[in-house]
Amino acid sequence: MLISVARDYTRHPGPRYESQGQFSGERFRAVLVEALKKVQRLIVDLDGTSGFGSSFLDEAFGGLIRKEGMTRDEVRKRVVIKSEMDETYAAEVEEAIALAEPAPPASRKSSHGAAV
Amino acid sequence: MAPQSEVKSGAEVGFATSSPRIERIILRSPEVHVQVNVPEKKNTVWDAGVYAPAIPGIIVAIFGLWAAHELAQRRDRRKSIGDLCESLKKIVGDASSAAIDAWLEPNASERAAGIASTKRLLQSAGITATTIKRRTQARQTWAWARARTRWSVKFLERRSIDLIADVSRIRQVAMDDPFEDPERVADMTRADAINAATSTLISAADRALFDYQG
Repeated sequence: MLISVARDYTRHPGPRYESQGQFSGERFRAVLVEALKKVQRLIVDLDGTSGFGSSFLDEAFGGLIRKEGMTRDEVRKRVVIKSEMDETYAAEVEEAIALAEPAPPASRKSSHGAAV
Repeated sequence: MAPQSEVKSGAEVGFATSSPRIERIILRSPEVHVQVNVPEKKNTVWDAGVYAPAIPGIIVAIFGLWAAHELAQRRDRRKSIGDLCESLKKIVGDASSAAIDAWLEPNASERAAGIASTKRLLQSAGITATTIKRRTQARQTWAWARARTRWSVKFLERRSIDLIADVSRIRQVAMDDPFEDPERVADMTRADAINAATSTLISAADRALFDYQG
């Protein structure tokens, strides 16, 4: 399954949290979680937008580990980043995944079907 | 004419010997005149032999053309990579200026344009860095040769210019939290870190370009 941020979400990605503005990374993470409930492997196309902030990418992809209870290996295996035009985004997503630390079990909300 | 032969004994030639001994036999062959008539052959354009003497010259000429083409192409490629590096440095400079302005702007509604501009410029920088990386990437033949040879072929290999990590670093520094938070206040302390990351990228680009051009 392929999710294009520009086509399926917005051409103008916003800030980290929903409270900070429209089309946030937090909300996009919810889109990812919904898609991950349906498929095992998800391709996320980052091309075609006006530009991402680091916080958006960190919240959307690192948040899968911090807040959705997924492991690093699981995220790397199930979420494939496609960024043909700008490889720096793929590098940033990989860094966000590498640096994300899982939150304590009490504060997690598992909504993507993975075991917590 | 019958062949003539002359036999002289040893006594005849002055040797004191009891039994005659053949010293030499001279056989005179008849004079033979051989006339070879070779029909004169007229070469056509299909005779490969006509062109044989020209083949080394053609090979040298083709090699010369190939060498001239390759050198011109290499010079053009180096120039275009140099132009792309200059372009990247300019974009990153503009992006860092936009980011610093956005950090210093206290009014949330007025800094929205600066935030959008920073994102757009950093994306342009990322695309340019990706283009530079792809255009300078060592060809697969080099990877193949390097994997199969004990001796290093690095002195023949083109050095790639990879500034992806440097552009990512600038984005992280320039757009670190709470850059897009509408409730934040102006932050003057970010400028130093942004300028440092920009300087690092510019020096990395210069060094990589120098290595690439040799």
